[in-house]
Amino acid sequence: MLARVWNERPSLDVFEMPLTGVADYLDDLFPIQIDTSQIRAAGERPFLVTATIRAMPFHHVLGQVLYRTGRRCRLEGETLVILPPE
Amino acid sequence: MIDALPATRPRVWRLQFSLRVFLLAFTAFAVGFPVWYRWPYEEVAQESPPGSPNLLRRITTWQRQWGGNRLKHGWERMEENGKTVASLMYRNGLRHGPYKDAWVSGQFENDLKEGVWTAPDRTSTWHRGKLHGPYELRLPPKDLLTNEPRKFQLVFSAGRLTHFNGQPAASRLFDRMEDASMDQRIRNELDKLTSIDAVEMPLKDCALYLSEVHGIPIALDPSLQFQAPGPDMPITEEFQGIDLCSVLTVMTAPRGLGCDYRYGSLWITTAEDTNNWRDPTGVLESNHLAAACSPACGTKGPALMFSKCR
Repeated sequence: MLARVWNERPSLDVFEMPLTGVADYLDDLFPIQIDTSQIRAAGERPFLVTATIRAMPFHHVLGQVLYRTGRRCRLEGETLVILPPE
Repeated sequence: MIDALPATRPRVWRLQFSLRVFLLAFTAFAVGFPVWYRWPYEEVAQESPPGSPNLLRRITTWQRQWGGNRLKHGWERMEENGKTVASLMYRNGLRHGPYKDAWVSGQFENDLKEGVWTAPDRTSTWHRGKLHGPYELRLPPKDLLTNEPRKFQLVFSAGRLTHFNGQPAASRLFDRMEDASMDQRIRNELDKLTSIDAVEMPLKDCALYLSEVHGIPIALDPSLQFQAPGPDMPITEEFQGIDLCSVLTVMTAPRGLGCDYRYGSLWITTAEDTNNWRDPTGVLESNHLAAACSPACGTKGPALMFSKCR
């Protein structure tokens, strides 16, 4: 399923939205699983995302959002797991 | 007794010719018709609106093609009140030969710029449609005290900017353009000529301007926010007739910045970051994600280079 949405082109226009909120938005937008439990469990202060990204493939949107927040991701089965920084 | 001969009636005239004449006529037609048919002819089109005091005419030389089409072949001229203001030579529908207008003169070969092109504000050298060799920009003075025109010496090699005012001007962006991972639309725009006239314009606004002009995303690295002067770094540059990739290089390199391609965007960051960057998010380099990507790309196996998927 992830392979199918990998090149979909969502629009993301958020202002100071927590990363978990952005992940939930993408999770709702596409039939994929995004696991944010590890960054929630870390108990960090929510890192806010401000971005306007249009007509860009999903993996680029994901890359930009993670880069701006200093987070990373890993694929476990069909689930994208968002991880805190190394 | 001899009968009187019947009165002779006038003979009906009929076209008569020998076989030799017929052969000569046929040969003449066989040679002459193609020459006449393919002989270039001029067509005049009035370009100025009705009632305009200036009479602007475009005179195009066409050549008929077998099958009914026609191609430009020969001079195309623009005339204003009977005076030629621009001329361009075509060959078989392609620009091929000298070009000259009120500002610019140069040469085309097979529809590509070739040789030295001159304009009042610049002299450029081209080879097969790409800048190749010295490029001199002569801009009007900005300093009213000295009133000296500003000169910029650039050197290109096969479309790549290599030197700027005698200093090497390497850019990772040129390498990235040869990488299959770059979006085709962005690569095309990087090759297109652009112009910018910035006076103390913040870097972020220059990026936004070029982004809007070319319709491609140009992002500033978030880390620039923590470095003075960062995204508000004032830029004073004026460029015309240079490709976008070179303009970005000239705008960034002398200021300790660099330009890269990341996450589907042109990415302005520090020069150091450009050279040593590795994707920290795992999105670009994760073999797992590459494997997930592969079925959508019609490729097989997790060992696939991720770049081919983008």
